[in-house]
Amino acid sequence: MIRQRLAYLHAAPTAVLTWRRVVGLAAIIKAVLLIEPLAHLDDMRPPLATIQLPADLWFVPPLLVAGGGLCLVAHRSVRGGGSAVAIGGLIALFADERLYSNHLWLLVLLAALAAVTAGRTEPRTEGLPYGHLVLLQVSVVYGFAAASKLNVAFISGGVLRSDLAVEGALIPLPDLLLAQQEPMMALALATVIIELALAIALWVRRVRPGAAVLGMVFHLGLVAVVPGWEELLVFALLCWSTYPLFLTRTSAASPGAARPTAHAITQQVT
Amino acid sequence: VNDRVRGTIVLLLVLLQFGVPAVLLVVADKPARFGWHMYSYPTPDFAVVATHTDGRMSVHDRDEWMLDRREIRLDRVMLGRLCTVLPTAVELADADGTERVRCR
Repeated sequence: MIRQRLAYLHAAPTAVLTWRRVVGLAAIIKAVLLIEPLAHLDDMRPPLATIQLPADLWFVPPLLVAGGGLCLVAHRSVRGGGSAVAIGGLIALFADERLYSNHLWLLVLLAALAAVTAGRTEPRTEGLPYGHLVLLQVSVVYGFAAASKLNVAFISGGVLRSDLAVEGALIPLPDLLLAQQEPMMALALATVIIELALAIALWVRRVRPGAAVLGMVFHLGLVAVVPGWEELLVFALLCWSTYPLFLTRTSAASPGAARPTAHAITQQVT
Repeated sequence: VNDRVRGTIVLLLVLLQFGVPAVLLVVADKPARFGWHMYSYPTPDFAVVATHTDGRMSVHDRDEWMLDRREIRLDRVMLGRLCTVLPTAVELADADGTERVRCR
């Protein structure tokens, strides 16, 4: 029974469309961000590559990610587009350890899921195949991000202080605040609590709208105060992309489950 | 693929989704790649002092080689590897001189 219930996610067709399009948008931004490091990868290369990408082919990963992202945004050739993003992202991830980032890994996973959930015609009456994996993935990200922060160095505020003191934030926190122990500890604790709350609350029907608002504000805060806002924006978009799925998720057996309607989007997506 | 098989595939993938970061959280050097260890742990600063064939010494930091990812444990893996990108170096040492690697 549980295996059958796990097979399909029932969510509004517009939520599925929004999820794929926002993942596509995140992919396009990430492709732009990949250009500079990949173009200069060979200038001073310590041997950190798992797979050796010939220097002349540095443009392949950003091209695949951008092209696939465009397909997802346009919601055309979703299978091909999602696969292109996933393959391009994987090449970048393993072409050099220096290109690893959690948001790139999340992009690869969500793009791969966008590809495998696409059908010949949509929306599907039976629901979104493998759709639960999309929601669980984001919960896993939030949950393990919180769990990994349960260490003395982070809770004391020291890690946050050193991360936030680096130049490059849109709205840098004042030095006076960074120098104080208590506010940094409070910020660290709040981060852990919010991440834990998001991992759980997005699944609870009564509180999920509030959780989605909390997630929006949380990611906006990260984009504003943490150096490297462009990459954090990609991460935010990837997490936000799944919120409509959480918000419109219904039980397969419940009356009024989010079934496709006559006017819902129906198009070729393979 | 019928619903039961699809459900089994989902179940197995869910185990992987949870299992990989769970194992990395317990046993890996942190921060580790693929474990969602985001801004969670302190990582030591990294600087290399190179002694060259002509006796000259030079100091290099992480930015020089685009080594800003925290998931690469620079202090553990990079010293020996950097011999290949500093062709005239005869010896590399970390900033406080506790670790040294002879390149040639």
